[in-house]
Amino acid sequence: MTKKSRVWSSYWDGYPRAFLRRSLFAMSTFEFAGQAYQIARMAGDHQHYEATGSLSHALAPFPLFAWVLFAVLLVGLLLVVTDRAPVWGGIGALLVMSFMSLWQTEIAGSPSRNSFFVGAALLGWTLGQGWAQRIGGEASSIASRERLAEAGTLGALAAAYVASALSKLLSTGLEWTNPSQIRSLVLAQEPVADWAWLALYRETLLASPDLARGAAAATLIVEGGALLLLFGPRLRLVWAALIFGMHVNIILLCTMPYIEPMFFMLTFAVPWPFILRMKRIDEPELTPRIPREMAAVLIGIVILAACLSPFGWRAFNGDHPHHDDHSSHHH
Amino acid sequence: MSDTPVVRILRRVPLPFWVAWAVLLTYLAAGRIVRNFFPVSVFDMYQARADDVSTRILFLNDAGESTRLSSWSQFQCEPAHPDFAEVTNQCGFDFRPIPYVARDQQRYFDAHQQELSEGEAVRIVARAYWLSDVEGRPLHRDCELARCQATRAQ
Repeated sequence: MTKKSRVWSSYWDGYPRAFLRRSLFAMSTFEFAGQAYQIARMAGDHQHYEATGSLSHALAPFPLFAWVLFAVLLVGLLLVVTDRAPVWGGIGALLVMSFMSLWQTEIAGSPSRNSFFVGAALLGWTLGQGWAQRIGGEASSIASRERLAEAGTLGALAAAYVASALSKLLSTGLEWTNPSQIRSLVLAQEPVADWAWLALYRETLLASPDLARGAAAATLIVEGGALLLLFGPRLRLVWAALIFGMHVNIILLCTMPYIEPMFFMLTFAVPWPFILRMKRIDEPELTPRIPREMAAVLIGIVILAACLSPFGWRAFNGDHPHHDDHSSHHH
Repeated sequence: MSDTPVVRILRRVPLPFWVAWAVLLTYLAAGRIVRNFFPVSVFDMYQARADDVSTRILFLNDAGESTRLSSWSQFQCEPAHPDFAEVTNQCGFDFRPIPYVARDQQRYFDAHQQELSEGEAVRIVARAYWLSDVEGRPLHRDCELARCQATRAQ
């Protein structure tokens, strides 16, 4: 049986994590079916979207190829969700997703960060699975593999939010909490509906520089504090609720639906094993160890990032440097 | 590993904690290097300091109330094909809508144009807001893009 630790534990300890695996599969499938639809539509709509790179030029005559890619991606995801080849299925799925992301970025002009949350989660899941496999022995049981996969996924999701906070702080420092930051974004985007209470909420925020400054500061705290997802389950639940609340506000005020990370916060942080009264399972104790191969993989990812650096999409390459995403109206 | 005090402490830390933090640090390091290459990202949307002027394209009805474009389902306008990508050229440097928002609105507009025998009189405007540290609604100025007959979405 797994011993409780003061540093790390999860509501899922001692319970099967098939729910998490299926959730990851469901969101990945949903997100990239949407991505395939968007790519096929945009690639065929030359009036509003133009091919801007060699990939989108080469594939311009074949917009429906996006669905072929999705079909291949689905094979990888099925290997993950059925646990037949969780590591290789995950790697294959990530490669196809990456190709679709490149194509989408070239047509739309900027990447869909919504899908990056799904990619980060799948990357974390796959790394956790691989880690357990490399340790071998009892660690390669499905219970242990998915215990580490859960941890890897939470690590990647926390990294996404911390990265976002770091980007803001490294770009503008605490000046990001100026009263124009949030209000400018809200004014430039459409609210999600014409509801009277929402109009009042919006007006209140827009009329108060202090409130707007507070909202910007809260954004930085919630994003940077995502590190707290990586300790105990109660703290994780509290911080997931704060992240969820932040996204609800962004949807209401700006119609920017980041439903992917919201979904993951719900699935990974809420005590579903107790809510759904799941049956307990035996989980072997795992000795803390970094297999040499895993250390090489992690360092390899950083080296690969350096090699791919010239091809990475960068903000500040348009006329409107502060407006560099196209996440609204996505779904 | 030799059995030093540090190693003994590290051994008490559960393996999932190691995995979570190793993934977190790897993702952060890779992101700072490559910026945005799927599935790694620095999530640098809206990282730069915002302008103090912000623009959005919207509908105004006869009473001067502003509504979202998507609150309307059919339009017949004059000029028939306002180009939202040309707002800055048409209205001046202060009128700079977010390009992808204007593009999405253009797509919506183009898809909902049709001849109408009746409808409400509305205007499509680019509205620029000036933000300041003073309490109260931000000041704004409108630049008319088209006059239309329109029917509301159900």
